[in-house]
Amino acid sequence: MRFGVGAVLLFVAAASCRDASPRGPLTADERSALPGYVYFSAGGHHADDPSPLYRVRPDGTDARRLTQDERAYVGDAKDRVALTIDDDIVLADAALGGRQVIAPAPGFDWHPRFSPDGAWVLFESARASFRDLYKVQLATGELVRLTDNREGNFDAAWSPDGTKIAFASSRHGQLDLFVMNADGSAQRRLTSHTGDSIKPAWSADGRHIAFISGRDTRDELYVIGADGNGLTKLGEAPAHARVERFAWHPAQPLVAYTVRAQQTGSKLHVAHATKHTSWRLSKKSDDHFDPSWSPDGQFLVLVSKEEGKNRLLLMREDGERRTTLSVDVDELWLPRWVDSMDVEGSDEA
Amino acid sequence: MNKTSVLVGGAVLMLAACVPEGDGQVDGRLGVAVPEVDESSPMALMFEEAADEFDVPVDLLKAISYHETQLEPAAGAVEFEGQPAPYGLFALRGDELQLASFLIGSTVEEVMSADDLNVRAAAALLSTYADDAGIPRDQRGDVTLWKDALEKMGDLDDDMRPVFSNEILSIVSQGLAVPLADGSTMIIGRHAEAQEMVETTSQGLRSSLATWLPSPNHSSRGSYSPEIVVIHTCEGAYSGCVSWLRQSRSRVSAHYVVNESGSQIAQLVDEARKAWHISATYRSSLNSGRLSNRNGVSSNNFSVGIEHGGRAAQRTWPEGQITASVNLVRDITARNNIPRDRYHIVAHGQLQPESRTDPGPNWPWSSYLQRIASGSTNPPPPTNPPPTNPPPSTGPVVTVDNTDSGRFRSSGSWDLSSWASGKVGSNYRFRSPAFTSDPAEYKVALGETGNYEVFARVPGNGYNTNVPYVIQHASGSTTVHRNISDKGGQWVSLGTYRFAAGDAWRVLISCWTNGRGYLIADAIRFEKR
Repeated sequence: MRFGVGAVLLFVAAASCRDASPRGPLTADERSALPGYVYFSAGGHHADDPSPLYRVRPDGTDARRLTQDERAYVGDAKDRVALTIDDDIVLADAALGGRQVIAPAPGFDWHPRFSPDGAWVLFESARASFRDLYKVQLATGELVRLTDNREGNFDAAWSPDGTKIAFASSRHGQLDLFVMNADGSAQRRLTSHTGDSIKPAWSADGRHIAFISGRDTRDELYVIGADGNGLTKLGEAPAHARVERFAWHPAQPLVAYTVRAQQTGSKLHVAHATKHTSWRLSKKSDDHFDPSWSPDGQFLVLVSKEEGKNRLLLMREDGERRTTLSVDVDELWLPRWVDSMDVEGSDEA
Repeated sequence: MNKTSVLVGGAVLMLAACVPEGDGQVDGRLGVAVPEVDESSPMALMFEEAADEFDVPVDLLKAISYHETQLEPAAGAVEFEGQPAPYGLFALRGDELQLASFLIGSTVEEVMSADDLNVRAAAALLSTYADDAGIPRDQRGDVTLWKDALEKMGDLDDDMRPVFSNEILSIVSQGLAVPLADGSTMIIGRHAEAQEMVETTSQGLRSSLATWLPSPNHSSRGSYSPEIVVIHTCEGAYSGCVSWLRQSRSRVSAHYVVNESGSQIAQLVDEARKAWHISATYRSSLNSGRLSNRNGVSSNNFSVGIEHGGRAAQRTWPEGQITASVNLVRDITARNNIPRDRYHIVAHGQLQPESRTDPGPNWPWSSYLQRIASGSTNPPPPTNPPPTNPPPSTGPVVTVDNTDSGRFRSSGSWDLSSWASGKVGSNYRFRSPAFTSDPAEYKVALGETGNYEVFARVPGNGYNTNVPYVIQHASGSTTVHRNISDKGGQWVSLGTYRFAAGDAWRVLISCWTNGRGYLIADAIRFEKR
């Protein structure tokens, strides 16, 4: 795998570089003003492959490979980055220095999520059971097991105020959504359907939980009130297609999601969670997947597959200002845009 | 030596109802060509002579050899560090190899290298164990008396002894025809009476949907029990797949293999045992030499593996095969109390967390899982047909949509969706049936008195099979029931009624029904007749 450290920005839109119209790609000044870092993984689609982690500034500078022969995925970021590296939850600074394995144990751990106040990390673990949810207090190392049933508990997500945790559980023989208090008490079932409900995620205002469910014969995007009322299909997929991933806007009730069809690839859509409207950002020939919002919610980064090669693409929520971030890494995927204010740490780049 | 006509396919075959009498009856489930089988091969003679010499049942002797080596001599390769190397057709090793050599007056080296001595040594060993177990010499022909003697074989630990004897008795209870490298076939005669000795501990660990075609490639689950089902594709045809997974040298196996048409399912490994279907080398080279609970060995510990004849790259999968697989997974999950969802029924290669919701591109995952979960053995109905135009009308037409302000109301139990493409307006309401009325209610204003036909819009297929519609008209109130499950994109007629000009006419959709599927409130339509 090659990686061009001197990465440059390429413009793929029809507009020329000289004509920096408001609808064209971002200008150099605009690019340099973009916040944070884009982390992304590469390879690793096969079980025997490593999946190294990379990082690049959204203007294409400061690009580097951060891990070698490991499987590394960014889960969350606050003042440090929380990652899954092979079987462990690792906290590290922005350049992945100062690595610290948290709550180490045999059996694999993943899906780390910081509590909103940064004091705890919530994660999923096979250390003592098929899958259960745990949280560890970073200051004391105190480990709290939040769930305990043999069928498994998955996909934990903090509410924005830190008082609740949404998760999926198979405890009734099918994958349903649940909400519990952050100490594990008052576990309450939100959905009941044989079509799996998975990957709950809270809206910024804590009023809605978006999730993926296969209840209508294929994976589609749904939203339900945090109180369990108002189940609504938010993002539909045509026959022989499915909603693959989604991401809440950091402030507004908007959800970016991708719909993948076997024949035509993956398309990016954005839905408004309360107006129940959605619009498609990808064009017919586009293959766009793995969206992540910028920390300020102004842009999305996603993977665009062009002529067989995966590229990082920036765009506004209306689909305009498309700007390709040219990093020379094969099979890149899963970009995650993280605020640099959060993860300065001991990065000496 | 008689000649026996039996069925030979690409793999070793079970001979239930076929042998030992040699009447050549064919098991229809394995319906392939029926060549002549010459049982007088040199290897068969070796077994016959050794069995006669040491007074042990020849079919037990053959079954042990088949179980240990698939009748291919072991050449001393060590699987696990520290384990004594196995040799010959019985994979004799360690102290037992020394004892067996002593019993026939040969050196260990001779028994290691000469097939005939290896067979004689094993027969002598088995005979000694029979004496230890107290089997009377004149009753040694009765295989049902051999359980205790078999459990002394192989220097096994206490957990494994009954598993081994069970395996051998299971083989002879059904019989086998084993194709040999020289082109001949070894017959392991069937002893149906041994079935009663096959341990009841296996009950519930084999599927009644499958044919038992045992593979030697399995081991203990340790303290684990089945927690997930892993779906594989053979990357080849069923027959070759089964054959390969049953050869000891392949070092791989699966619990089940489903053939292309779904007409046949082979079970190769008991569910109580660990099949070797997930690569043992999984990530071991990437993991800094650290033994991980997540590596392939431990995934095998808690999983049931199913192979499917075919290739991952194929565009479609035969409906019969999918249906057979659905039924098999329902059976496995029911007996092992495994939840029927995507985190417990997974694709091979999807065991890494970041991609575990991304099943392979061609296997029909969504409908497959839904059918497993719902118990439907039929493929899901097509959804979202193209919208059809409303029927032609001659008089005034009034349409009320659920989005029309002041014209529609429902409780919060009626959820909002914009999904189905046959909808009127931007969305519609839906809710599950319940034994409470909780109606969705439309209020209709009509400018002219007259007879109107009333229609309800159905935005997609698959909805309720018996929807109660209540029409309030000039003569009172009428309730009609309609099956809307296949009326996607259509206006369904609720009948023609008389209405006076006015603004108080109502149509209600009750949720009190024994019909299946969501109730739908999209739009209603009045057309003057």
